[in-house]
Amino acid sequence: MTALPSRSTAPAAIDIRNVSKAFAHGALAAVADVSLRIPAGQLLALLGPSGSGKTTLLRILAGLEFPDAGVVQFDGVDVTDRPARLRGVGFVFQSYALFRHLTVAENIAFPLRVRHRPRNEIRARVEELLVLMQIEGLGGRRVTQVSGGQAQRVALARALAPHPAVLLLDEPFGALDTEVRQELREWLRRLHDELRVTSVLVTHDQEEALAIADLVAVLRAGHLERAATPAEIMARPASAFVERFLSTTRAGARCTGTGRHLEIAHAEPAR
Amino acid sequence: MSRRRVRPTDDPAVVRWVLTALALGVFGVLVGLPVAVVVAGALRHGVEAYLRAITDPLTVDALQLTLLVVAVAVPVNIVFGVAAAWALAKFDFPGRAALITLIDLPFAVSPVISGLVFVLLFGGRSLIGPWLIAHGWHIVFAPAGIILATVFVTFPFVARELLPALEAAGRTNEEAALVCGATGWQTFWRVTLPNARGALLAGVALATARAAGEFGAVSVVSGHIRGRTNTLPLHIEILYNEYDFSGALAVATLLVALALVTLAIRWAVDAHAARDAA
Ligand SMILES: Nc1ncnc2c1ncn2[C@@H]1O[C@H](COP(=O)(O)OP(=O)(O)O)[C@@H](O)[C@H]1O
Ligand SMILES: [Mg+2]
Repeated sequence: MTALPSRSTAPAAIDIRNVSKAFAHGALAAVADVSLRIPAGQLLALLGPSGSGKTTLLRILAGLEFPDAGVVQFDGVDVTDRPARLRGVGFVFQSYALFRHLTVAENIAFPLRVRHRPRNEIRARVEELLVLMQIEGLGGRRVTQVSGGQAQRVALARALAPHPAVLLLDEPFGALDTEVRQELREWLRRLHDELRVTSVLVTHDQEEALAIADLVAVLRAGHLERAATPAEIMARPASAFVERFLSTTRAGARCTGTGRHLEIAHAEPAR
Repeated sequence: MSRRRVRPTDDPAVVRWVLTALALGVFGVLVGLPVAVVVAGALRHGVEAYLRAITDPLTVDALQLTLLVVAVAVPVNIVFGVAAAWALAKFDFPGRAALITLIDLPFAVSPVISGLVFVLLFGGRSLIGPWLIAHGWHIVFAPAGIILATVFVTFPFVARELLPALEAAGRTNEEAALVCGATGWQTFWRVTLPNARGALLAGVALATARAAGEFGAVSVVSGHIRGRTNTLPLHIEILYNEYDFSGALAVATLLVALALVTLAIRWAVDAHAARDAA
């Protein structure tokens, strides 16, 4: 690894306490009274069907959305009202949201540029991330000229550039095809272990959640149904919904007959 | 399946041909022909007469005033247009719909009326006119009034081009900039504006062309003082009214040249954007 001024932050423990959010007055809450603790350095998967409030909760953690009630703490510090810019989080958007007018390297450098870091530090960090993301040689490319999987890595590199204490990923593999998806998620898990970061990964794919997460939180219509380790969830789903959600996806997967989904019936969560 | 794919391009070949010919024909008659007439008319008495016409001191004065008007009106419109489009695209506030309609107002009213409004506002017989004149602020029948009228008439171009581009771009890219640690100001300059660069330049090109060529509004506030408040279009009209047709057409070539430069800049930008997208 390239020698860098040591600015790596320690991973932050995330505390979510009674957080609620409704988008219109009197409307059904997108997130309803969710309380959840994520120990520092762990990888949590936020699992739930479409519309269950996963993205909203993630955006509340990022400071892109502000809760109507409740508190968010990073390492015991209340950050509920702190704007996105000052939270020290990396965010990978579902659509990647890369800056189209910039090159791959310029995208990765962006968080450092706006912080007015010295030029040589930026160059070194970008180089380091290109290697880490296994996209060396793409630095000069336009982001419109890379594949979906590569764009995903660029988005991840940009999020990691300023050494965030918290990494938030919104369905990072949603737009990718099955093979790339499976390969990338194993790689992401290894990456998470190498980095000093607390990660929250949103997914509606329970196989994905069970396969790579330390903790799985199941959301249903804005409510937290269950938060436990994959092993515990597989052993005791603890609610009819969780049970049904896991088994319908399983049954659905069998019907598609792609084969890979069959694994999850015997998924043996490692951690 | 393959048959279906071939037929659409196969069958209407004649239609395509006719449509293309029609488009080129209309373009030729409406745009090409007038330009040809202007150039031919300007050169009717030879190159020397042409050069004399465009280097005439009154022509040079008119050109200078026109360039001054463009140099002030266009930047002012960029600032106002960007601010208006940005506010309209990013925020939902009461009166938003009314403001969008208001931006189009200069297009909706006749330029002559627009000019008249400034005469009524700032002229010698208006409420504040005498006070302004007493303090040495000449607006009507002075370059200031011409610039004001031009700013007003060209106001919609930048805002109108920019607004759809900003709306289409959405918030995600800006949110990405914010979580990357950018301030609102950095986000605007480094993300919002570069994303809308093409639309901005298109608006600037249109505003420039109109600012240089505006006749109606400027004609009312100008007072046609030769060498002082004559812009190129007004100067052309004076020459024309004096039966100096080749002189009028010679000066007109200057406006045509200005328009071509603006177009060329747009083409260059579009080509650049197309290369980026590829
Ligand atoms: N900006 C918004 N305005 C209004 N409603 C929203 C907005 N964002 C999300 N919602 C609503 O909140 C609920 C949860 O959405 P979301 O968090 O995107 O779910 P998920 O990511 O789990 O699919 C949905 O009912 C959605 O329609
Ligand atoms: Mg979502």
